[in-house]
Amino acid sequence: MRRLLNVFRLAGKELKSVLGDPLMVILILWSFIVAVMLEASGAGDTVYNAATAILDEDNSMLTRQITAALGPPCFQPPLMIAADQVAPDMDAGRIMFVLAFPPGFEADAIAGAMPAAQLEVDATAVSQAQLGTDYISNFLAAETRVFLTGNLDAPDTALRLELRRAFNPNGDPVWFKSVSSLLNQLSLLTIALTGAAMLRECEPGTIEHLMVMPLTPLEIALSKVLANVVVVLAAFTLSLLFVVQGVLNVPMAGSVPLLLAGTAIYLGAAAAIGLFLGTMARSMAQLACW
Amino acid sequence: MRRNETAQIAALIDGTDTSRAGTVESYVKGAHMHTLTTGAQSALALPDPGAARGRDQGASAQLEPRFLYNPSKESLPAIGPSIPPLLLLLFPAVLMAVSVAREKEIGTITIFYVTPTRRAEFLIGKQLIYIAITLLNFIILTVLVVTVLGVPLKGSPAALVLGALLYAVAATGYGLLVSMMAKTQVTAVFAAAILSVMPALQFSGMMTPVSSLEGPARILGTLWPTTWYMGLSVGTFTKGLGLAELSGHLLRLAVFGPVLTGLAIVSLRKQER
Repeated sequence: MRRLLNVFRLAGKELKSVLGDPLMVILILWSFIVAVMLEASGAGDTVYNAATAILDEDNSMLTRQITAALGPPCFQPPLMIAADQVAPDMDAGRIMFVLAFPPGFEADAIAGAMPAAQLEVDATAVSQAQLGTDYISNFLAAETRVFLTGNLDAPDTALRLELRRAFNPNGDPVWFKSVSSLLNQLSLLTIALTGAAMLRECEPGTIEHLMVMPLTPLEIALSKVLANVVVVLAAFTLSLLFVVQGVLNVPMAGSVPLLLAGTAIYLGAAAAIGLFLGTMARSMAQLACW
Repeated sequence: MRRNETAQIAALIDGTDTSRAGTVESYVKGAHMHTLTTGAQSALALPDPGAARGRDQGASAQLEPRFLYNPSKESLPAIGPSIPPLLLLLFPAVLMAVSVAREKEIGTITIFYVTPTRRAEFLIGKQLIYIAITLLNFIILTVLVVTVLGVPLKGSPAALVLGALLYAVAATGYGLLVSMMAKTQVTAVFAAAILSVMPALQFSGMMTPVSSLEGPARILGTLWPTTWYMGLSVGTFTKGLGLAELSGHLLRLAVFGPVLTGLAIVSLRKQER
């Protein structure tokens, strides 16, 4: 009982030293609010809002129809550019995809001569390049078919593929990115906070004060884990409820208490890693490098 | 299909990881098209060779993609040059931030308070060492990328080296600025790492091309040195660009170092409060 009380007292001291530093509080808030929101707004390696340009040397109904089909959410509304702009724009990274229609594209398509549109792709981002090419290829095939048959619902193939995405039917990247970003912050912050809590005692030598008190190493370690887990779990819960569900509108399909219980267990593990690193490292600079 | 009617197949994809789902989706579509054009009519012994491809006249226009800079779409040439910009920001910044915060925490900063050392002398003296360390890291990383990862340096080495120098000044300047705000080493490390990792990872063009970013993500990307050094690194390694094409990136990168260091010098106090 007495030992438990010791752990709580020490945890209280730990909480004070974390929350007493205004920059630290700002950083925790930044990680769980601003960082999550910003990271969710980036798209990762799906094709989202990709910069496209059209080099239209045919300027016909068909090419305009294909151009109109390229648009949000996968592509930015395409820019019309001239042939001598292609290389500088691609080199500077302003444009990812340039779709070039040769003269006579529409006439060839009507005559059944299989015209070919050229697509210049910036392949420095590999997965976006591949996915975007597939998307544009599908748009091109579908729009040409609609143009030639005049029928929106013309079946494309005898054996039609019906694709369904489970759990996230529209493939909205925010749903995935917000949660994965939250989990990244969780690991990073917990490991760093507990590691730092240990070092804060070792470096100036206050660990000696704790050692000469009637405390066991277990009590010292547990108090540090407890205090930091409480801080991070509170930040996680608030961020989950108000940022992810509230601001970003990500639906929660399962049970929130289950997730929180799992998070608490995980935080225990992450805090243990942080403590371990904190006792191994000699200085703050070393801990940061690990 | 033998009765010459339209059949449907369903494909259900796990959509939790949106980027993986996108890749799987495009592979499934590709396999579907491939089977239709090559395998289906022979497997089903369909009477009309074109029947599986389409009720009308099948594909009537095609797309000829040309993958610039990385024609075989290998991942190493794409990822290799984007790793050094990340490491060359994070480590100098953290080490730099700790170096001043340590003096504050242990109390040796008093020596600076009581001697006639000027603020700029104190900070730039510290910074020079870390710039040297960063350049050493740059050499090691470049050698690693070229030899171990096997990514050739196709563009101008001068542009890359000049960029690395400017980037080192910017990264250490950022570290100095962080250490001005931090009272302890713990907060210095936190601030240096947490504030820099996200814009460096997410908004510098490493994961998402800068041209696809929008809103606050785009602004943060533009105001962060990693974006410009990432452009230099990818530009010289993968795109094979020269000094002339990259001069815009170099000029923008050159702004960050003096501004960040200057802000740090201005906000350093000569007297303890």
